[in-house]
Amino acid sequence: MADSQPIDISRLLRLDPSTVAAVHDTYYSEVYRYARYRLGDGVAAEDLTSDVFMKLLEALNNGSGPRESIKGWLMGTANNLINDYYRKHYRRQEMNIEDVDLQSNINPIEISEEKDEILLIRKAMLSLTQLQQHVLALRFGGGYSLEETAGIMGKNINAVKALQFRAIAALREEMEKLQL
Amino acid sequence: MTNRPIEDKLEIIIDALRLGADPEDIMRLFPDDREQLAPLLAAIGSAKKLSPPDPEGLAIQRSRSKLLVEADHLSDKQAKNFFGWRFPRLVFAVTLVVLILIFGAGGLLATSAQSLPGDQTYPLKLAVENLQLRLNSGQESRTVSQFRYDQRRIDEVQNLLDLQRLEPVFFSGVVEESKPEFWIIADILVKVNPETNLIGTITNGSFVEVKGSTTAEGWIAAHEIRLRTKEVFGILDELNAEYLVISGQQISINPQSQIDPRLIVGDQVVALVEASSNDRLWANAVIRLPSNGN
Repeated sequence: MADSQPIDISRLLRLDPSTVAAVHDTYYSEVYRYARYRLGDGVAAEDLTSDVFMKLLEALNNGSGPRESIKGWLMGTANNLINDYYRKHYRRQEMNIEDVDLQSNINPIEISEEKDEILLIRKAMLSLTQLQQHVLALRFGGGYSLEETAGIMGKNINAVKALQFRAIAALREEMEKLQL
Repeated sequence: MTNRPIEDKLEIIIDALRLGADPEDIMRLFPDDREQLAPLLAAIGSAKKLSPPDPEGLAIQRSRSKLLVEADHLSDKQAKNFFGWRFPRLVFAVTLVVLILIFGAGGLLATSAQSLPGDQTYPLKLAVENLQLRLNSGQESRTVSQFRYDQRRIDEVQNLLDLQRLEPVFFSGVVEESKPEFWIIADILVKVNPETNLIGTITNGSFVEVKGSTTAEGWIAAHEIRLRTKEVFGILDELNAEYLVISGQQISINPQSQIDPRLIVGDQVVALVEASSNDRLWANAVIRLPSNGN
């Protein structure tokens, strides 16, 4: 997850196709993994990731694109879009077991138990604050280091450590409520 | 270890888990805090279970294509903001007349007409062509002009290659041959590499737009090759199974063409057209427009 090759911002502002394509190819997987972690659904994560890059174009076109870090801007936008998504789908947050998308290489006999567990973890995760979900998704979905997470969130490392601690403690508490 | 804040200890646990350490071994690092840290370690293990798979290649490709189409659309709009709707034709025409009066009709414009990409007067040449296209009232006349300017771009590229001048260029033409490394487009040798953006389903015979740079070796290094489509507005004069005619312009239909089933002769329509050769147009889609007053 080391920072990517330098992108020529002036070319990006001009919407130069090769620079736009380079930004997309550099960051797509990271944004997708983050979105997939938060949403749990592959198709929704693909759509949302695509929307994040369309928002980037829109912002560049309006002169309000990233100032310092493209990655930070993309992840911040992904976070905002996901928060909007959950606001719009608030009443549908109670998920069905079938909604949980698992990787196909899991032993079929274990699928049911595994699905139940994943479903409950996700349910516990949705009980956290948006900021707590954001930090856990960056660490465990995006796979970012503490330093990278602090950079993306625009916070200092100690603040992220504290937030992360509270998020994990809250997750544990929610899991206990769900008897996990 | 015991004097560290709990947040630091948690970070050590996360790092150790990431490196594949056994949870029991990790707990041995913090014998005094076992009771507090063990449940957190379990929660981290759960959080890691939601770790997602990598995206599918097809999804990346789809998103990339969508993004590039939108970037191109916005880029065109940016250009139009200068030479387009926000710069009314009349004002543009008056400005041009003033320029002609200042510099003399036979002077600057004549010089610009001979200019090549990279020359100082080349943007003026493009601006004049743009103006002429806009002032052409008939669709047919506009299409003829567009083909003439397309040919002019090709001639310019050929001139630059003959002169061994290295300049960014763009031109349109038919793909005559496409081998893994070299393509021939409008009789020009074009080198395609993994960085080249290929937009649309391009096959031999497709009409494409090429953006790239001339090289001293006599070929074009392609940055982008895009399948060319354009919009044709007008009145539907004729419609049958093989072709339709819009304001006198014949456009072929194939099984992939998406035609609005409600279309009848006399409708005002817009067709998204793909040119596969200089004299044959194919309809990708034809949509009925609301008539005036509706």
